[in-house]
Amino acid sequence: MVTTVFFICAALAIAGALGVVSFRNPVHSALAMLGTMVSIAVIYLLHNAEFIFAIQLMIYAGGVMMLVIFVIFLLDLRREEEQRAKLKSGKVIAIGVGGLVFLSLLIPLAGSITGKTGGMTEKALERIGSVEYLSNELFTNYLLPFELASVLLLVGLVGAVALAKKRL
Amino acid sequence: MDFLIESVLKVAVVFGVLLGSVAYTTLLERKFLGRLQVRHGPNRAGPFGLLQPLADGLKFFFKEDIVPANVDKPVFILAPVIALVPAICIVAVIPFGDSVTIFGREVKMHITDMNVAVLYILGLSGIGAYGAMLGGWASNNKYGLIGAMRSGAQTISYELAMGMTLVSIIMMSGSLSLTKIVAGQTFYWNIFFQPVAFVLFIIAGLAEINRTPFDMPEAEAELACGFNIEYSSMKFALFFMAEYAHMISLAAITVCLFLGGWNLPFGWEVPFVPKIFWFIAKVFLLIVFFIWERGTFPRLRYDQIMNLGWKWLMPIAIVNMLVTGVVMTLIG
Repeated sequence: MVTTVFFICAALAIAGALGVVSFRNPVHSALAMLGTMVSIAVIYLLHNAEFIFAIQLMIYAGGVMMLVIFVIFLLDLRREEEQRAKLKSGKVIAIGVGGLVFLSLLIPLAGSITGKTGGMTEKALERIGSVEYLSNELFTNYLLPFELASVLLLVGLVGAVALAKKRL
Repeated sequence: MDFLIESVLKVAVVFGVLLGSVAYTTLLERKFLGRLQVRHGPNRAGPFGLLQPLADGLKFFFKEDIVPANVDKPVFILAPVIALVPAICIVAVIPFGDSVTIFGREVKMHITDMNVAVLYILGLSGIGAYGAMLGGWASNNKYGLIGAMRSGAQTISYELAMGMTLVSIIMMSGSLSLTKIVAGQTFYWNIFFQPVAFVLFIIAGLAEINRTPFDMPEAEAELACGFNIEYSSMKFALFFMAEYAHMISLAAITVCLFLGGWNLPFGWEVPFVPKIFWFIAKVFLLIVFFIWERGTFPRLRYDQIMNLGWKWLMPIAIVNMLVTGVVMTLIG
């Protein structure tokens, strides 16, 4: 049952990823990306990582993609279509770089298809609870990186306001 | 296997009840709004107009399904579905009552008890907004596009305020599961300790489901129905159903988070009344309130809505969270 759902979601995620790069219309690409994100969220859920599942839905699928689509709405899509024809040489480079990245991702999988298993398996997460585990780790072992990340986000926030507002 | 049958049955029952309630909430809204505006409302189809939702449904089915030229066809067709599916999925995590025994088998009154139900609801309500956004864009209509932009901006702004408001409730309950949040309110409801959060949540929730006075995406007066301007027949009906399903689920979530779910306050119990009755009664009262305020308040302006969200709701929610934290630490 779980395996079947996993394969369906994995297939949907890959199909969405292919859609992102192959659709001509940017909004269709963004929608395909949304599909990928939701499928990946379900895969997280299958592994009992409920918190990551909810955050993936909320932040990535709900917030980030919403803003991306928002920006695409404001673009002049016809000009994009015209520019596409000029980028022949860019395609070759893109395929080369993409292939290299794909190969480097395959290296950890060499030997076994499942990869390495860490301490936090699905069973362990089911016992502890993913929210409890994550918050314990964040506020004890990883407190400094956590706080640094929040300061970094704050800097980004202030910077965005400073750039967007011409007169403060 | 038993579990599977039970789940399928529960999903079927909840789905049927939800769609039935959606149909009759439209009638309630039209009747009640009519009374508020000193007119009768629908009263021709059946006694007291009770068959009106059926007539509406049939009419939607038989109307011509117009797809205008130059629309983005796949997105145009997909958008109503994207609007409706998350609205229905939210109901999966709402607990309706205590467990009951049917045929010697303990049946819990919720489809699933997710550990992160509150976050799941926030996530899905964000995804639901894509329906209006994509529908407005795909219609290839300027009013539609403006409605779409407004819908997206409004959802993002108010979802933040809503999330911040919920943090104080989560801190008090110590859980993200709606069942546990309700179970913590058998004696004192959360609204007694968090009246500010309750008001904030209702305001943010109304903005989130695009209800008057926050119905900027469809503002009839200026946008001529906004994002759904080009939609007709069943596609329009799907948007409509999504709106009412969101309204019902907002009422149900508010009851679970603030109004004690299926519990009466101070541990009161009334014999022979099943607990699910209190849940339904509270949801009904909240829906009546939503209709009432729609008949009362005029629509806000767009900049007023953004100001309210970012400059009032967000700071108040953060201060509320801070105060909750300090008080909880002091009391221990």
